Amino acid sequence: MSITNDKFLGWQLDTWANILEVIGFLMSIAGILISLFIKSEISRLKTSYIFEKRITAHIKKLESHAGQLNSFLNDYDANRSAIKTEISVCETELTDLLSKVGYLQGRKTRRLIRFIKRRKKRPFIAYSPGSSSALIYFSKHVTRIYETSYNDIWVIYNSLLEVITQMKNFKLNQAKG
Amino acid sequence: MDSVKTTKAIAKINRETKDGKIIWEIDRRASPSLRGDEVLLDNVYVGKITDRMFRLYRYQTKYFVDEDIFHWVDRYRLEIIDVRGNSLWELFDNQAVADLYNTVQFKTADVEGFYKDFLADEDDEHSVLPF
Repeated sequence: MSITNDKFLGWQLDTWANILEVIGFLMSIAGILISLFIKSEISRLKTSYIFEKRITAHIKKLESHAGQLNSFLNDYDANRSAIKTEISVCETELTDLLSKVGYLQGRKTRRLIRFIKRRKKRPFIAYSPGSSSALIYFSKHVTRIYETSYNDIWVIYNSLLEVITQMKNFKLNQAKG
Repeated sequence: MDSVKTTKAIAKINRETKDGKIIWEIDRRASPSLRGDEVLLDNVYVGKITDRMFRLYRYQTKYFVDEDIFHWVDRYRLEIIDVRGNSLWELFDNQAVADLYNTVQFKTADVEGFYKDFLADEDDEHSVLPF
C-alpha cells in the first residue's frame, strides 16, 4: 500500500498529467497520419474508378484530335487557323484527362499542356523547309520565344501520340489488375 | 517490342512522306498478307525507306462482341516486306499508322496538284467579296 501510495498517489499528479499529455499527443499525431493515409487511398480508388469509366472515351477523342492535326498538316499554310483551334480543343481534352490520372502518370500530359499553352499564344508563321545548317537548327530555340512554326506543330502531334500510347498501356495494365 | 519507338518511327515516316522525302506507290501485284476473315480495302501502297521496302494497306476484320455477334472494323497494317512481297515484320497498329495511311492516300492521289490545277484559273472576281 505504501508502494502504491508512493508510486501513484504519492507521485506528483503533474508528472502523470505530463505523461498522459505526451501519450495523447503522440496518439493524435498517429491519428492524423492514419486519416491522411486513408484519404490518399480513397482518392486513389476514386481516381482509378473514374479513370476506368472515362479512359476509353478520352483515348478516342485524343485519337480524333491527332487524326485532325495530321489532316491539317497536309496543307499547313492554308490550315494554320484550324490547327490553332484544334490544339486549343485538344488542350481542354488533355486537361480533363489530367484530373483522372495520378501525378506521376500525368507528367507527359502536363508537359504537353504547358507546351500547347505557350505555342498557341505566339503567331503561327508560314511553313519553311528545314535546313541542315547548325545555325538554323540552334536558332529555332530562339525563334520559338516569339513565334510558332511547322516544327512546333509536329512536336505537339508526336507528343499527343505518346500520350495516347501511354494511356492505352495504362488501360491494359489496369485491366490485368 | 517498344511501342514508343515504333510510334516515333511511324510519325517520322509520316512527316517525311508529307515533305516529299518518301515516295509511296500503289502496288498492283498479288494480295498482301491477309489472314482469316480480313478483307482488303482500297489500294496497297509500297515505299522504300532506308533500303527497306514497306507495305501499307487498310483492311476490315470482324470484331466479335459475342459468340455469333460481330461487326466489321477498319484496321491498318504497316509491314516490312522482302522483294517477293512476303511480310518480314509487322509494325504495331495504332493511330500513327492510320494517320500515315491518310497522308499516303493524300500524296498518291495528288490532291494538292488537283487543287492547284483546278483552281488555277479562278478569277479574283469570283473568289473575293465585291465590298
